[in-house]
Amino acid sequence: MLDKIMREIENSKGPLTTRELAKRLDIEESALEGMLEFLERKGRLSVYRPGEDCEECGLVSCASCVYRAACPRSEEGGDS
Amino acid sequence: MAAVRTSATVALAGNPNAGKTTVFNNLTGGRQHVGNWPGVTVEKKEGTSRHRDLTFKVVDLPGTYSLTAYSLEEVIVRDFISGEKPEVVVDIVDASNIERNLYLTTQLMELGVPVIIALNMMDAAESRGVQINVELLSELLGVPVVPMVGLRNRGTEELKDAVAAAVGGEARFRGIQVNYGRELEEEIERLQGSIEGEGGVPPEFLGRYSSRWLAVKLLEEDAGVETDITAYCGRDCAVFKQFEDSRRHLLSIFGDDIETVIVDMRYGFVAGVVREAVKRKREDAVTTSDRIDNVLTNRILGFPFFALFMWLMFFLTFFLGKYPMGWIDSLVQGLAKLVNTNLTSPAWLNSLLVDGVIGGVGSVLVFLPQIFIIFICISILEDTGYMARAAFIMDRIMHWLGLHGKSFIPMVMGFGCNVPAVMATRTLESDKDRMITILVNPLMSCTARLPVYALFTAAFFAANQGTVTFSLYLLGIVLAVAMAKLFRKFLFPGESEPFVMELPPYRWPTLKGTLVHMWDRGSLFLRKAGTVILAGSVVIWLLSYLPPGIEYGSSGSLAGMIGRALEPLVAPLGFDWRAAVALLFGFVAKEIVVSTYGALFGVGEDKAAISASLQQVFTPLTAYCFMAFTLLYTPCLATVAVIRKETGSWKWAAFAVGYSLALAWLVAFLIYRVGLLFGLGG
Repeated sequence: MLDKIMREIENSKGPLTTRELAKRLDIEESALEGMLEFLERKGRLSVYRPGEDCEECGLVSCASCVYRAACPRSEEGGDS
Repeated sequence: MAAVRTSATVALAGNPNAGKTTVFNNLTGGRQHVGNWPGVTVEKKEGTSRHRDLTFKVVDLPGTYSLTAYSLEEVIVRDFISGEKPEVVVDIVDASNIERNLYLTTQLMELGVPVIIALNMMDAAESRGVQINVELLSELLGVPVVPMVGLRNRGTEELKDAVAAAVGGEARFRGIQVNYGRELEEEIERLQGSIEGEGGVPPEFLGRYSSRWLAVKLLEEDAGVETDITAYCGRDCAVFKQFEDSRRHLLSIFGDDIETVIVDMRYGFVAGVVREAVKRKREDAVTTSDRIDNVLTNRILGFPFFALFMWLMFFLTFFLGKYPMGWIDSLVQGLAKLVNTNLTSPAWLNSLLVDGVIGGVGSVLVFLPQIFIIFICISILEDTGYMARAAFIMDRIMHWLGLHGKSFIPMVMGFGCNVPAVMATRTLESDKDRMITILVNPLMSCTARLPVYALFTAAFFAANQGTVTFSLYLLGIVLAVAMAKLFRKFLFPGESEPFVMELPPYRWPTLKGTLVHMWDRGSLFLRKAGTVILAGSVVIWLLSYLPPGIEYGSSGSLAGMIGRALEPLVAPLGFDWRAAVALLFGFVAKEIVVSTYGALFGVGEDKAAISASLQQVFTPLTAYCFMAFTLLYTPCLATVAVIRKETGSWKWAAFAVGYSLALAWLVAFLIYRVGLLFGLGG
């Protein structure tokens, strides 16, 4: 199962969402999450979970959480 | 005849959010107390429950996904089960996420304790189109399975019946074990032999764990089990000798670390069980977010939509921003006139206040509406969940570059400000990816460049301000991507690791949330206007005013002398000495480019007057070159400082300044020369 995940990701021509990957492998998305966490811990791949580090900022996406925590924020930092 | 048990201990295990606490409350009612697990601050809940003649203590274990030694919660769960030996472990399984939850079940069964599965949230599973054959599931796993809806207190009595039957010895536990395949099973058996044999693990330790569980855990290189066995029999005992032999043998077969093989086998076992006992209706799985994503993250349509949203953002910024901008401009001009006509101070102080302070800060402050509008747009894009999609769309390009898909995320953040964006590269695991992303991040156009674009596009491209600004943002992205490719090839060669992304569902942004985000970010711009820009304006005023008696802001002033000394460097780009001075001070903060022009032209904050003066020294072609140069040349002082901090080296900070300066010069030169070739110089 873990090999299938790695193969599917490596053979994919573009980026993959966990949802798309779960569909392709015909497994439950939450089960896939568990497997991805394991593979991530092993350093085989990485998973981006928007907002996982900045729950307190309340944004849906961490991607553009420009001035907020972790999405690290720095008071001394101004605009460049 | 064996005596009938009247008391027992029941442990509740399960994944987080599987409804464990609800089932615990249903079982115990008000008869519970809360404390901490010994030596740690993890909450421990215990209660009692009665069923016919049986009284049982219910212990709510922390929620875990597995029983490794990686987290405190997992260690607590396995230590309690192996140490306290509860009569029954009730595994609360979320039926709507059964495949993930059963992974823990396999590990609980491996511990060799009687397990009852409480199949909770059956209603949620059914509403998601998940149908579970409970009898077949029980048969396949060899343990009792009780369907439940904990929130409605359904199935609680049946669960108590099952617990009572288990305690009374009436339930059948076949406890199916995962079959790890011939090679692994052979080594597990050998290890079991050494664990149980002479020189192995003493009986008091074996009483806690089954030898099979210990063997599997050793092969998984479980740190906790290794430490425990070492404490009992030392590192040189027969167990570790056998472990080393088995490990070597298995590595030669699988060529992978053994833990991965074992975990894979467990998932395979769970997948097999689910395939047999669970049926899903696939057609219910398409959500509104999926439908929108089919268009917005489509391989072909994704980029045009991304470009359209970006263009729309800049169009709105300038279209809506021009009205409040005019009001602020009038206000600042009025203030300057008021000070100029009513102040009876010395001429130099008058000039300092009007030309330096009001002119310098005011010339930047008039762009506040645009800054606020662009932050409203960015807030809407992120609150809806689109920004995560932007990173997803761009991942294709990043992947082609050999860069990590995550790298685009700090780059998107760079549209706001490069300082936190550079810091956000900490989320990248690979040092090489991180270095590349840090180095190209300043090429992403932050909001500090916006006043420069706004000033120049108003003076030279009034009819197409949004489109021209959009082209500059695009230029920044394209060059960041190109430089990343170069850095990957020559400075940091290597492959990026595979990348998967979780996309959040689309949501409607709230008015309050959008306004709060706009103010949070926009107010930083205001603060900056009152600090860095103010200080910069005073310095520029001083340099434009001195030496005494010179015409303010003329080529004979100190600023003029600096500019003329630097002019040969920028002359090939079609710029004069004023541009050299403006760019030099823009290194502190890019907005200062605007206030410098205000000072050098001696027109202060008067935007129309600055525009008119700019038209005397720039053509549309050189104006575009100047904006491109401003976009690309050296990161601001704060960004350079943060690059130094994040890379831990002045060398890389200096490199970021040097390469971006060279790139800016080269790009501006090419645009200028190609423009001249096409007759655009007039």
